[in-house]
This record gives sequence, C-alpha cells and structure tokens, in this order.
Amino acid sequence: MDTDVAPDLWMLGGFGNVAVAVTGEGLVIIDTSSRNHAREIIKRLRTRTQAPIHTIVLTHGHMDHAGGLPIFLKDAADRKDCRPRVIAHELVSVRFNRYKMTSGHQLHMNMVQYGGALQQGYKIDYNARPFLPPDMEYPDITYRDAMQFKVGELTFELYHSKGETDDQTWVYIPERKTVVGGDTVHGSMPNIGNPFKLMLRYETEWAEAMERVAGLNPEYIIPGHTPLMKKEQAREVCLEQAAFLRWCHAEVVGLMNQGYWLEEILEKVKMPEKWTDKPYFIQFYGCLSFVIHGIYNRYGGWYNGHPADIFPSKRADIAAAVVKLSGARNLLQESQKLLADGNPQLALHLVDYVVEGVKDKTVLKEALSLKARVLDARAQIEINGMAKNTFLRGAEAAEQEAKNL
Amino acid sequence: MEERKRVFEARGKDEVLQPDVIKIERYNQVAGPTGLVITDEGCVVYDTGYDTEGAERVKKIRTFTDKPFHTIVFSHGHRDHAGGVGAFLADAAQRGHPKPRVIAHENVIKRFDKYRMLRGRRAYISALQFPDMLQAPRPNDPELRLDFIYPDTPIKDNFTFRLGGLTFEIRHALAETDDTLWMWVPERKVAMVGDIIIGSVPNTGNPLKEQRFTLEWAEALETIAGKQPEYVIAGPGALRGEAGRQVMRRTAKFLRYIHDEVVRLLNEKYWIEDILEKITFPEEVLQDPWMVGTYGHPVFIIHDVYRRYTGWYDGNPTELFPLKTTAVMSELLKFAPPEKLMAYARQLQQEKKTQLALHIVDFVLYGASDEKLLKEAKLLKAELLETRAAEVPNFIARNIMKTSAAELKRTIK
Repeated sequence: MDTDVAPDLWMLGGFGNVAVAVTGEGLVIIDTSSRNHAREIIKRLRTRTQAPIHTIVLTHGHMDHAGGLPIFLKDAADRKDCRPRVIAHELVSVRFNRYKMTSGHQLHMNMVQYGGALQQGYKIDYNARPFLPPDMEYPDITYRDAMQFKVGELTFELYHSKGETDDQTWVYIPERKTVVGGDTVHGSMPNIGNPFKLMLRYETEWAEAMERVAGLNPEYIIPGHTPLMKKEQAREVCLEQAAFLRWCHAEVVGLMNQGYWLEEILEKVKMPEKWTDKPYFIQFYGCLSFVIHGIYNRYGGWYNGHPADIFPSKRADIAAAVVKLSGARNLLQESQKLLADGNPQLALHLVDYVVEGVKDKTVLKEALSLKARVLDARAQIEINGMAKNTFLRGAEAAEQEAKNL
Repeated sequence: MEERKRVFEARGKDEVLQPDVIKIERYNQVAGPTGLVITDEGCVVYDTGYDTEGAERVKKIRTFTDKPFHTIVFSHGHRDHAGGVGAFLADAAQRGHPKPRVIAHENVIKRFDKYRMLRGRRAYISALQFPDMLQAPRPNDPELRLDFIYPDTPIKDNFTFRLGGLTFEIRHALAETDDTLWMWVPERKVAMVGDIIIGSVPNTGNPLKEQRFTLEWAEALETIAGKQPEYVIAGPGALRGEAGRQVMRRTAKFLRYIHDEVVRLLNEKYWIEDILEKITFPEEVLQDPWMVGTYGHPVFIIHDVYRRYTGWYDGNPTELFPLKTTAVMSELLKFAPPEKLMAYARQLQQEKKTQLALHIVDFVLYGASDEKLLKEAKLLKAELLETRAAEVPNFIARNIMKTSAAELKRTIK
C-alpha cells in the first residue's frame, strides 16, 4: 500500500517497501523491493514524478530489498538519466559474493521456505537462476559505522545496525523526523533464528538498534515490510520488541548457564502473557522457537547433549533397527490412529521410522503417502507461514517420492 | 615428519631462535609459548600463558634481559594466552618501568564480556571437554576466572609500529576465534601466530563451541607462509624454514578442500547427514602428522563450514517443531518392548556395533519408566560409551563420552 509521509516523502508498498524522497536535486530511493515488485513500483513512481534518481540506498542485501536494484538502474538508463549512485553497508558486497558461491543452496532453501507458498498461489520469483541475478550491481559507495549526506534540502543519516543480518542500514531524515527502517523495524516477531538462513543473527544488537531509533522520537517509521508506523505506535513497537529480544536473550543464556541443552530450553521458555496478543508479536514470520534456536546457536556448538550423536550412525540404520523390533505395520497403524486423534506431530515422528527404515517398496510407498497426509494435516494447524510452507512442500515431496517408487 | 619431531621435542624448552628472538615455553602442556623480541628500547611480548604461570614466564624472561616490557600482544582472548598478563604488568610496576601497552583485537573485549555472561555454561562445557585436566568442582579452573585485564590498545584491522630499529606488523585474522592477531617482524623473518597452528588439524567446528572460520583460517595460513618466515612461533612450538612453511600450506590446502567440498554439496542440495557421508579425505592428508584428528577433527570442520552457511533446519519437516525425545521414545516403546531393545543392544554390543547399540539403548533410556530397566540401560550405555571412547582418536569426543559414562554411573549410585 502506498502512503505519503509528507509531500516529498513517500512509501511505495511491495514485497519489500520502497521509500522515495523527492528533492530539488533528484530522488533518493531507499530500498528497491524484489525484482518482480520493482517493475510495478517504478510504474507507479513514474505516474507521480519524472525527476531523475540521484541516489539509491540499500538497507541490506536480501533480495526482497536489493533485488529490484537492476530494474531501478535500467529505468535510469532507459530515461538517459545519469546513473544513480548506490550506497550500502560494506558487508552487502560480502553477502553478494556469498550468494554467488552458494547459489544452488540459496535456491534450494527458497524452495524449502517458499515452495509450499507457490501451491497457495503466491507469486514469488524464487525460481530465478542463478540466485544473484547476473545483472546485479554492487554498491558504489560503502560505509562501515555511519555516514551522512545531503541531497537538495534533505539530510540522510545512515546508521549501521546488526539484527536479521550483519549488513543492515537504517536511515534518519531529520527534516521530516522520519526513520526508514529496512528490516531493523518490523511490525511482527523479529525473525532471529530463521531455520533456513544463516545461523548467526544478532538479537541484542537488534534490540540496541531499535532503542536508538526510539530514542530519536521519530514522527514516522517506514518499515521494510509492514505498513507505515506513526509516533506513539512506532515507539511502542521498537521498545517492546527490543524488550522482548533482551528478555529472550536473558532467558536462553540463563538456561544455558544452568547446563540445559536446546531441547529443554525450547520447552522452558514461555512467552510472557503481556505480549501474547500484541499484533507486533504475531508469529506468522518470525517465531519464538526460532528466536530461541538463534540465540542458542550463537553461543553453543552443534553438540546436542547426546554423546551418541557426535559420530552418529546413519538415520536409516537406526530406523531399520527400530522397524525390525517394533514392526512397520504397527508403527503405521499407530501413526494413522494418532493422525485421526488430532496428534499429527507425534504421528510424524512414528511414520518417519518406517519412511527411513524399510526397504520393502509397498510398505515404503504406504508410509510416504501417510507422511504426506500427516504433513498436510500438520500444515492446517500451523500459524507460522514459513513452517506451513515447509510442511506443504514436504507433503508434496513425500507424495512425489511415493509415486516414483 | 622431521620438523614435527623437532618441534615437539623442543616442547618445554626455551629456544633462542636469534639473539633477540626467543621462544619462552609453557609451564604445562596446554598453554602456547610466549614469543619474546628484545630491542634496545624495550621488549615486545606475544602471549602471556595462563594466569597461573605468567609469573614463571616473567622470571624466565628476566634471565635473558632486564629491558622493560614495552608492548604486550594477545594472539587472542583465550585464557591460556591472555591470562598471564598480570604478572608482566606487576613486573613493570615493581621495577619502576612505565606500564606496558597491551594490544589486542577489539573483539577480545567482547569475548571477556561474553565469558562473564556465560560463566555457568563455560564451566559445564569445560568439564565435558577437559575432565582429566580439570577436576570437578574446579574452583581454581583458570578458564573460569573473571578477573580479566582488558587491553588498553584495542585494534580493529592492522597495526604496525617500530621499536628499537625493528618493525612489528600486527594483522587481524579470523581463525579459531574472531579476535586473532598474528605478528610479523620482517627484519628477523619471524612470525608469531598463536593458535593459527595447533599441532592437529585446525579445531574449527568444535562441537561445544561457537562458529569458527575455516576459509579465513586457510587465508591466514597462506598469508603468513607468503611472508617467507624463517621462524614461526605457534601453539606447539617454533617451526622453521621451508618445512614450517609447508606445514602451513598443507593445512591451508586441506581446509580449503573441506570448505569447497561442503559448499559444492550444499549447492547440490544435500543436507548435513549426506554431506558427512559423501566427503572423503585424501589418504596423504590422513597420513600427515600435522593433520591428525586428536584435537580438531576433519568431521568437525565439515560441521563448521555447514553451519556457517546454513540454518538449523535438517531437511525433515518433522524436526521443525519436534516433540521432546522422551515423548517420542515412550510412544515407540509401546511397539518395541524395552526388553527386546535391551537384548538387541546387547547383541549389537557383542557384534562390536557399539555406535548403533548406543542409539538403541537411548530409546530405552529416554522412553522407559521402569526403574530397574532404566538402571540396566544406564549401565549398558556407560559400558558402550567407554568402548566407543577407546575407539575415537579425538580427545574432545572421547572426553565427552567418558564424562557422560561417568555421569551415568554416578546417577545409578
């Protein structure tokens, strides 16, 4: 949804929002949305102004913020405008290099994370190949801690922050008392510990960045994804989310100090009631258990507390032994029963032993079809969008595997 | 081979490498040595050992020189390198010398703060990893002391100074830690590198510790070797000449090999279990005594690289929001009676399939409620862990298994 913050400061909505500052010297664009959304956003932009783009700032290197950059640069070239300068934190280039190196993996993760969403009719350009488009441009100007520039009558203060990523920027425009937050300010549960993305995210640094933003008392915050936030609401979101991240960090660290492993910590940390029904803690994207994973992984190694799992046997060998001792038929029946009783999660654990442990094709086929059905049922009761997609995608994959047998 | 023998035979002995460059030895087999450079304008000291042995190191240095300590450099913030600095400062105060400057990477400060925050966890991990060296409850464990002396000269990237006609180039590297500094003295062709060389394959992917830096570690080794050092003072001792440079190049090559293999397989859409199975290590590397898996381990390095570039999801949607192990196991025991599981685990034990037996006995341990049965399962698991511990070459893995076995036996009593 497009919203005007001031006559010369607009928020253009997309999969990632774009902020446009209109100055006498040209436009300053903060974030470029995803490649697909950028095309439509530019069309809307050009119905309102023909001014050339002076500067593009990328708040970080994720493709829903930086992916539209080539489209914006092409707009400038098509119009025979001067090429806009591109400013970002110095680690954006490092990220782009990593995307090149791990392109196949990034595409794989997008399929896992968003594959299920495709079935639900979402239009996500997950299938672009390679992951970093060949016409992607690297930033021309990078900075490390902070930088400031003026274009026309507006000042742009860029601050580096860490949170969802290590290459984040948020921007303050003092003349308009507005913060353009990128993903530093997000209207739902902060996505620390995303299961599919880099293990290392930065919960305390994120809290600190939001506290800094709140400390400026902005009239408006243009966030990276959710709708425009106004004064009191913006302040509340920043301070409460910061308090949440600090609370969760203290909980996980406290339990680690008492010698608990991840499984126990996941069970022990409970969301305080004062936050459960706040809209900015909706767990559709980020999710409490993901945040716990993220903090735990930051300070812990990969050992899970079970000495059998340091140099483990193959899962298939363990499962085969279990099937041998309990009978595949028994496990399938029980799994079916659990599904009927409305306990798909336990049903999943049981059917997995059969899926991983039997060689007989008929039984395996049956197990895979059952797993697909259980995953579908699991997806139905899931509120987290990413998890729901993963279940749906898993169901699709299991069904496909059954067919291929 | 010869180089390794020479380096390890010199353990525990001070070595005068050049008239003004001396390796001052550790006082136990854990902490790395101190690199000492003596100039007319004062001494530069690289690493200080544990708190408990700093004074001994100073005493030894004072048999070589009376010059004041001008600059102290921490190779990184681990206690066995930064802990002994207090004794050096005390020596300066006692002699009426100016207070030496203490240089460290700025992340050392964050590390010390983190150690305060995670003291309980570190005590637990330390007991798992080093049970033989540090007896519970270990009130004197230097790893757990919180009386840090913070550096007064934190640096971010690189830092170069001249003293007494010599140049000291300090470089930041990501390796075992994010706060590693190595030092190059071009006039003496000597590099001091701390734990960038540790005597086994690099310990990235330590199962108990946080993310480390496989690729950057290789880059650091290559950069150091590229300086053509004649002497390299490192964790296990002083390496020399071409043989020493070759150790660094071979180690870097192996790290890059593992890194590139993991990335290749990630790009081919494999998950950790498959990657662990698919990567094989070249025979000549496994025969290389500098690449032994006694402390670091090649399999750990796979984990390190994997976890650097991925999230925690393991490819199975079941495991996204899993139930507790006990809930799953107790359900399973309805169909696989625990007596049957125990019998099968014992059979596997007889057949020397210790690892699989461990997994099977875990089902009983986490799923059964009968006291007598649990006791049997604990005993069997302890036996299996002891057998397994005797098989594995890596001492971190071995110690975790041994500690866990001892803990199981303790709970039976």
